[in-house]
Amino acid sequence: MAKILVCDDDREIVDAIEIYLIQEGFEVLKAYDGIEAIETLKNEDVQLLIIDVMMPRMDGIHAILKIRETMSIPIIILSAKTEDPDKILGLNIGADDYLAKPFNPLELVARVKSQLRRYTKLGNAPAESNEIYQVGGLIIHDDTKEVFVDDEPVKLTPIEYNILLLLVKNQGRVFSIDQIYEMIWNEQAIGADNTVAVHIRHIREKIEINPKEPRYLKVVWGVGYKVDKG
Amino acid sequence: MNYRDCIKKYLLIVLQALCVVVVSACICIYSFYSLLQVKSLNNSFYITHISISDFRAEYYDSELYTENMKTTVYDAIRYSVIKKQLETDGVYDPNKIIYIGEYANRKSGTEYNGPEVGYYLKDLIAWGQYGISQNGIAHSYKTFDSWEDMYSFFGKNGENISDNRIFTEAEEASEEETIEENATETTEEPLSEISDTEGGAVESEAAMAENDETESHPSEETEKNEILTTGTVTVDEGDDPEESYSVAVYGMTGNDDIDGDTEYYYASINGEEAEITANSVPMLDVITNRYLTAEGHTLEYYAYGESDYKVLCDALEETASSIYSNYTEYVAYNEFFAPENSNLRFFVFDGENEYTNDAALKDLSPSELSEKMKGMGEYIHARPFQYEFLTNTPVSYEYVMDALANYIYAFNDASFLWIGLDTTYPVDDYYSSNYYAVKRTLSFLPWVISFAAIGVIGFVSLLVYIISTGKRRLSYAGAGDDLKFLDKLPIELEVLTCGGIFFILYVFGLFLFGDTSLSNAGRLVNILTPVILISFLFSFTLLWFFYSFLRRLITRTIFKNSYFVSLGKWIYRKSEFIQRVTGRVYNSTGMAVRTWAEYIFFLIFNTFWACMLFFSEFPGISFIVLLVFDAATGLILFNRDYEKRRIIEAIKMVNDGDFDLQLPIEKFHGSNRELAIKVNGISDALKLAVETSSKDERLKADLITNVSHDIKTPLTSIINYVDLIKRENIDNERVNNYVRILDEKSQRLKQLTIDLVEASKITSGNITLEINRINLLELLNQAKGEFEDKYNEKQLTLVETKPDSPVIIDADARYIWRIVENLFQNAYKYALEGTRVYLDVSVDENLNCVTLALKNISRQQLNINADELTERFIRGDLARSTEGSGLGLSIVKSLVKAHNGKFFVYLDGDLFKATVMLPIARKEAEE
Repeated sequence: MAKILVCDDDREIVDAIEIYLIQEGFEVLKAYDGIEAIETLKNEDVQLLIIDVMMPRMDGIHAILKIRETMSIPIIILSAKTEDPDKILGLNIGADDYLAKPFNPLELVARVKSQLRRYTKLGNAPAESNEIYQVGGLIIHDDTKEVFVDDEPVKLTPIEYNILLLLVKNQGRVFSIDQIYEMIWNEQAIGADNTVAVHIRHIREKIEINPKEPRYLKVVWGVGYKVDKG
Repeated sequence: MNYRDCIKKYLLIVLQALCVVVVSACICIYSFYSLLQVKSLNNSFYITHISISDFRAEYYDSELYTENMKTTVYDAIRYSVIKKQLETDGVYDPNKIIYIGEYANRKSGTEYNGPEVGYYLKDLIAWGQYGISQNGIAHSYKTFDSWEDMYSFFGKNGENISDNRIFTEAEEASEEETIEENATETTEEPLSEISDTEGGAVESEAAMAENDETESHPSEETEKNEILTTGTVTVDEGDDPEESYSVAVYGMTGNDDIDGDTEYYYASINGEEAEITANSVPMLDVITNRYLTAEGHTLEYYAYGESDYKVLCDALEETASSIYSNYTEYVAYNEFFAPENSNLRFFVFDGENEYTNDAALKDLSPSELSEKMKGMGEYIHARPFQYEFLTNTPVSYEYVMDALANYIYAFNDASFLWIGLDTTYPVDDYYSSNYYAVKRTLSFLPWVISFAAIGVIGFVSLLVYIISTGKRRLSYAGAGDDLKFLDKLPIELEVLTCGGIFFILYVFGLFLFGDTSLSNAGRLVNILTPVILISFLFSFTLLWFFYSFLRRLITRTIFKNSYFVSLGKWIYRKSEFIQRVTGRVYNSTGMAVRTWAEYIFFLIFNTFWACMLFFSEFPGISFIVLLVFDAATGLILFNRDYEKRRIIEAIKMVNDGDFDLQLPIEKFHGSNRELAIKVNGISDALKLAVETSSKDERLKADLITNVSHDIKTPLTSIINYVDLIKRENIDNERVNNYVRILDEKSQRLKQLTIDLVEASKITSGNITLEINRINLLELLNQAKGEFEDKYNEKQLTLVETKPDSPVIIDADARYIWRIVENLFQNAYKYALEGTRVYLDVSVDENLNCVTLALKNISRQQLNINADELTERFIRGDLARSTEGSGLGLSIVKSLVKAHNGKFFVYLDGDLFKATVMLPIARKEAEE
């Protein structure tokens, strides 16, 4: 099983995370500051790192910078700092995900799994064909009408599927509610009001780990919806 | 400072004073020896001075010698001329006859052809000695019984004179008058035209004839003040009536109009009126002749009439006084130039006679004379009218000619002069004394100058030494330590002391000198001793005070203890009250008074110069002054207004929130500067206040953020372990219930910390907006989609009213979403289940804004007022409700404010209404 290094100066948090991850069948290594984490990474074959930012001796940011010099394993930052600038900084220096404390343990596990899947399996992703669309960990097999998120199959209704397909096919483009309605329902969008929005929310709830912080299907408030280019 | 230093210092000052003494003694010695007492004419002495420049050379090169020689040349010429007047064949001749008309006229250059009268020389001298006209001794008014009497008074009356003489006489007489006024020395010329004396007629004969007529027919006169004499008529015919010299007899008839019968007649001689009081009684100014002419007559014997008589009188007076003064000079010269008294020899030839002070010279031939003169040492030879000039003296040809100029009448073309000075000095005269004086003074002058120079050098070097050492010591010792009693006195007292000592010295000096002066000292020591004493005392005192003053200067204590300064300070302290009062008066009336004073000054100045422009001789200057002044006034007014405008603009900017604004004070003047300073002060104060407040806000936000970080870490553990407990599948229902509560509360705590951080961040204004163009209706649709399930869950029905066209606003979409989300969330949380929620969107074109209102029926009783709902965070009054943080509305309010919008909460019973007003994007920008 994959080895995961958990690094936080709060031992109880590390222990709790260990419990969850072991329950999911991962092997867990523990470190309590940046230097320990770097040492462990040198000696062990670690597949994923969960690291806190504010730690003694060496903080998470410096540790990540150091680690990224040699390694490309997925890194998830787990921090009490929840402001946007903190998140942006963390992601910019090389972290793959950012989770704010206090966190939902299940979400953490989901994200760990997602990162591991992408790290271990994306390399041999299915060959590009006309029928397969991929955005990050989201894969749509149009021939079989199947949708996978991090290799997990997701069940969508036909309308949801069509909306998602439309957005994925036109990655980066923003569709307004009316546009989506007209293209999916093939009707004039009069009084379409919140139908589309409700569907979009349902899709998000199905494909996103945290629907409030969507990775794939994003809301452009006041304009419409889009799927970023993967 | 110890005693040795002290003594050394005083010794130095004494030395310096001695230097001054040396210099002043040198000056004294020089002055004493350069003074010369020169014996001159009449045994009188005069003091002359060898100027310092003469000491460079010997006597014969000196200015003194030049002056001496010039005097000699002048004296020799004058002596010769006087000899000519008074001598016959080289001997004084008292019985020589002097013709007064000729004599008085000798300088005029024209021939005299008036009546001629001859006097003996001795008589003239005697007359001149006792005076003629002085004190009126020899003058008197003679009254005649009738005009005929008067005419008969003149000896030549009635004799014929030719007509043409009338005019020439008139002119000549006038000339004569001017000459007589100026000339004092005259030379008698041999009179060639004595025969003309008889023809010395005067024009007044004709006048008299007229006068006769006037006299005979006084009653026929009808005009008053008519000039009756033909004398005047005669003159009128002449070229220049102004200068006429004539007799006018005025007749004034007393007639019917004035004064009755009295008639006044004036005999006017030479323009002076003599009043005759008696009816028709003539009166005349006559000379009482004590000495008769050589012929034994009185003067009137020679006159043809009043005019002639007057001329002769003046000539006589003139001649007598001139001859007398010449005679006295003659006597002096005789002694002065006597060969036994003088080393000078002169020989003057006037073309006819030879004049010399050494009779032996007359016998010599011209060549022998020349040799003799040249052999004497110093000589001058001039043949003035042939431009022959020979000399080894510094006297120039021009000077000789100048000396001759006054006596040119006495010399003809053949005249020449020789002057010689015997440089062996066989006799003792002023040349010899000057020669020896200069020689003697020259011998010791180098010593005097050397000593004086040593004195000056010594003085200066001592001055430099004392000042430099003193200054060094003062700066080492520190101000004040080295000051003496004198230096600590108030400056006024010191100056007074100094003045007092000087006064005492002055009195002492007066006593010492007495009436000794350079010229009467007699011996050098008589003057030198007091000079040395006084100069020493003076210089010592002066130096003493000088150094004291210098010490004060260096230590900057000149005005320390000064009475005036203390007085000034005392007055200043006392005057604070007065200042307060005047300041108050000034402040209350200052502005108006100042404005009026300026305006009145402007008016007066302008009016004055405008008057000058029109009435003065130099309108150009007034024009320029006016131009400059008015232009300057205009500029000042403009500048004042400009400054005021700048201040107003600055106030506006401050009002609009630009607290960084600072006016450049130095660019403002007068009251505007005061204003600018205050504006800057206001701006500073506001800036400080705003900075402090925003800094406080930021600190608060930072504090909350940091605290929430610290809360979050333990909270993470709590949440995680509560979750782990839940997973343990415990059978105990009670424990499960506890765990459930723990779970709920820990989740709520989590939400609370997140909201708290966000609220503090937003309310402290610590956010940046990313403005984009968004459609509010689209956003509301999206929001509805997000909340649909939640509302359904509580059976809340959303009823919306909205415009058909999109509502475009410029805003940060994320924050607008937060606003809408919070409002929807609020309704979801607090609305009574199964009720309707109203969402109204309306656009107000006039206000250019969109209004979004959300209404719902509250599930719980709202025992709180609207303000408290939105300002919980600010009030620190955290939520007391069971669900949510209660900070939602607070956040909404801050966010709406950040978007320049307005947010109201309206409570009416259970009705809850939240209204958001946001500015919509400009239409034109939309297109």
